[in-house]
Amino acid sequence: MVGILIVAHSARLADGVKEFAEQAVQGKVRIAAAGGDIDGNLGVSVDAIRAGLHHVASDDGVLILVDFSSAVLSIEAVLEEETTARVEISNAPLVEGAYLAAVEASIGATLEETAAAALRARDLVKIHHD
Amino acid sequence: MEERLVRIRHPLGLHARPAADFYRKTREFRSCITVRNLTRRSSIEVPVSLFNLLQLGAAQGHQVLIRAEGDDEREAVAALAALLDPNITEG
Repeated sequence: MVGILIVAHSARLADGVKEFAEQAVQGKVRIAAAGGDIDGNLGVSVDAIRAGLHHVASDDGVLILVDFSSAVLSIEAVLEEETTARVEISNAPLVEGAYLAAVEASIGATLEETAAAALRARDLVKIHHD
Repeated sequence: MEERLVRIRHPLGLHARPAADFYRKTREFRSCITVRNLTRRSSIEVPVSLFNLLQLGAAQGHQVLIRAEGDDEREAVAALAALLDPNITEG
């Protein structure tokens, strides 16, 4: 089953998104949160990203969701040393993307299908006018 | 083809958790399943996906049409209707 890694600049943000996505799939999917820098301040930590990646790694791959693009450099630094796992970084918005990805992964979708489901989050309409 | 009109009972409508449960349930059947929110004029019949379920904008009291076509269409519609309205019993 595809694993999900949540990378955010705040530990509480990453943990909250993880909690939300886990509730939607009732613990069926491995989800890790890597939020905040090494001192617990706002930022991202290469060590936390590496640990999270190891925690959710599987043969089916890992989808990484991020809050802002500045996290991507740190993720790519980790991925340069990790050549074993199939990993994709999503362009989806964090909360909705993590939710859609987790549910898709929970039904046994491939990494490609999971990534495509997450990307749909970009088109989600939240306010209906009829 | 099997279809059933169901009124949403949950106070929060078809929100994140029930939508996820509904979507996962559809994957237990082989039939082709579609949904439409008859209470919203803009809603059209769409194949079931988690994204499409969220886009139904289905609030409490809204009427959702569930359609299934395939060799397990009866079981599919019964099970999905029961998820949206606990007053409906499966089968």
